[in-house]
Amino acid sequence: MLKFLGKAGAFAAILLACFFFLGRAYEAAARKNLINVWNRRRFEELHALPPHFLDMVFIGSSHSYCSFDPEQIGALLGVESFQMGMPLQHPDSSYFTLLEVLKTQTPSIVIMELYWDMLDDDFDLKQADTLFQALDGGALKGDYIREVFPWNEKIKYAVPLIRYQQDFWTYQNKVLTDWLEKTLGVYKPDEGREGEERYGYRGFIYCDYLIPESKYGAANQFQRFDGKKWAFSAVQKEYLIKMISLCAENGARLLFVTAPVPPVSMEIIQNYGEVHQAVASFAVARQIPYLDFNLVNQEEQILTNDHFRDDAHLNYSGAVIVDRYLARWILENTDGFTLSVD
Amino acid sequence: MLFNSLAYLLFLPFTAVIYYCLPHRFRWIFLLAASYVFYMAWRPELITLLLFSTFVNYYAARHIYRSQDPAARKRTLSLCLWISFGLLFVFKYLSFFSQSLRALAGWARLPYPVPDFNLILPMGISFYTFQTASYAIDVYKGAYPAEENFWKVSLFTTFFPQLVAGPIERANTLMNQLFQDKKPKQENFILGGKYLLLGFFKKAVIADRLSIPVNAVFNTPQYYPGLPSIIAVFFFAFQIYCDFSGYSDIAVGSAKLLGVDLTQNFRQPYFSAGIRAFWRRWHVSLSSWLKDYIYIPLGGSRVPSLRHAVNRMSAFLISGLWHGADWTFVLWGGLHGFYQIIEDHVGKNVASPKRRASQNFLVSGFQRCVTFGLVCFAWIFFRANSLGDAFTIIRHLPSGLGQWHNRQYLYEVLTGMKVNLADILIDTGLIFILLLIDGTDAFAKMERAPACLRIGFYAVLAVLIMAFGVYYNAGQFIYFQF
Repeated sequence: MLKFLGKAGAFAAILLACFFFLGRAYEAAARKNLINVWNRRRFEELHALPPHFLDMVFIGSSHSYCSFDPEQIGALLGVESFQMGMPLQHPDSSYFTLLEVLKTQTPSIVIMELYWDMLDDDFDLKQADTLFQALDGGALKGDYIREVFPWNEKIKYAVPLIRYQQDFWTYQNKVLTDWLEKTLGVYKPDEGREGEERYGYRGFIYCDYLIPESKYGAANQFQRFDGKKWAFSAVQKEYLIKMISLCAENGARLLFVTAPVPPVSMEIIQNYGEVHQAVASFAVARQIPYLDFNLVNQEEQILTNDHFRDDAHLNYSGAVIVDRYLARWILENTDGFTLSVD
Repeated sequence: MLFNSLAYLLFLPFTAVIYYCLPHRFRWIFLLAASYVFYMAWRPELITLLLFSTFVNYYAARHIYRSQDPAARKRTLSLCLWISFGLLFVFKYLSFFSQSLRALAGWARLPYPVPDFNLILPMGISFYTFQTASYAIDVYKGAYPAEENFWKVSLFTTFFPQLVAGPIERANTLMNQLFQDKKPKQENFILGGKYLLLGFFKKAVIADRLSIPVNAVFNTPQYYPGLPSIIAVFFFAFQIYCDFSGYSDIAVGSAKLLGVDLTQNFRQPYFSAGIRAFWRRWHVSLSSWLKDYIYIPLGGSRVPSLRHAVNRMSAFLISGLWHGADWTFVLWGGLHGFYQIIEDHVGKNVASPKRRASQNFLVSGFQRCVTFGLVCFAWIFFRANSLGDAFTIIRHLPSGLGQWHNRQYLYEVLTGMKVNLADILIDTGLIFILLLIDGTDAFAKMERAPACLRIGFYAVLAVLIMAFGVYYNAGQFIYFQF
């Protein structure tokens, strides 16, 4: 028995040493990765605003910060708005982001962008991490982990080898490909992208890229996407309901919007109607106005593929069109605004 | 409940501890309850189907065992098999046959007013149907006495380590073990732990990592001609092996913790020097089921050669259909049947141990490579989403052959498969590690090494699982869908 215990102890000792040293190596490499600088800047600008300054807040995924420009909406409606969209932001993170906004601001309108790919997961660590980078610790992060993380995710999050694994290998891959390109003279194929992408006004991301050729085929992220197989996550539904209550408690009018994807992606997507129906019936049941730009575009053809930067996001020319449409729709669904520009 | 979930990592030791703490007479009852909890963690209502299937076979077996009338025994068995396989047909194949008939009617421009059947495929239905059917057949053949207690038969069917993806056990190997008085043994815990480590390494580290480039290529094969398709087929061969044999290792390890020995389902199949040899090493429990209950009753090899070929083909077509309700699986099974018929005629002694011993290393290595190539070719049909996709991949395989020396081409291929280049290199390295450490006698070989090496080896395996395993968006076990 003593022999067995000795072996088990040696096994555990090697294991713990490896966990410790590899975990530290993973963590160190993860820190070298670029954090989402724009998301952090968004939060910094928000915190720098005077209290009770904002009339309107946009919340949602990258579709939100690529589509809804506070500068344009401000010019059209004469309101002070802010774009708090975040890469991959799921409703659980939207809820916590709104909590952060409401600490200092009292917006009368909250525009919640709903992208179906954010509504079918019960949990997504990557987007939680993006929010954490911007929050930079604090009580909200603790609340988020306590409330949103399922118990098994809490365990995984506590293990650096698991938590930083993807960051570590992304960094190592960059080191490897940079070395190969330098040593062997190989290069990544140029997608022929011209233009710029930059942080714009109050959280909006300006971009004038055009959708690359590859997104018309294999690289289109919606290949094999079938609305029939899509399911609205009960967890994300719960956070949308929490958002509705939070807005009601704070006297804010909540509106749901789905930003458009390019016509080429809509042709690839199968049974989009099923997704729209699920989201629309959720909104109708709770009396929340809902605008789906994909249906608008199918009916009115306001956007072409040239209005998109990739297979899912608008470029600036598309955002201009969408924002004018959105401004009119906001007027129809809220009181107290007039359209400044026709 | 998935084996590769934290819930299972808690469930298993908890079950083992309670199991050994209980007096012997209550242990099997606890094990049965634990197995129900395990199965019902997915969709609780589907337990009714499992219970019904078990009851039909339990009742039929008891009736057959008690009856002295051969005709009545045969009638009972037939009815029992019709019900069991009828359930399997309804839940797994009805939709497939209906869709095939609809396509045929469309081709013939005939109306087909039958609606779509969108039934849920109950997890593990193919496995437990085969296992319960084997119990009734064995009782009919007199190979095993009928069990009087329904709940004991139920434990034989639902024993959680092998419930959803096998190994498909027979009553004479599993039933008695479940009710024996077992003392907790140190060697069982150690060996069980080793199997669990190896299983998790195969599943979480290799299979789940490989699934990303494999899915990218097989889901849109028209955009990945040439080398990416070849890499994807090669990766899929190891993905499915690691996925399924990883599951089997976890099943064997879990059962071992409870003092139960399960069948070894895999014996280094990719080292086989012939297709027949491959099937003696791949999914052994299914192969032996098909041999004992289909191939041999049809006459096996003791019939004229044409009939023998028909018997072989029948067994493999059924094997294909067992794996999935799609023509791709039927073709995969048919291809393996065809390989074996050819092997029967042109290479009768290809895999015989005597012949192999006399062959030099090069010849046997060549045979292994050819066998692996043929198996990989058949996997294209197994993995493809449709027959059209499978033929697209096959048609495109030779594309870009002349550019393999071009480093820019290689760089573009290896960075264009929806995973990082570093991941492709790591995956390839892990496959080599697997080939070095895998095998039924791997643990025995390791036992001969000094203690410090052994401990280091298993610790490294555990670290690899943590450091390289896929923990976000990890896939289910592929064989769960069967």
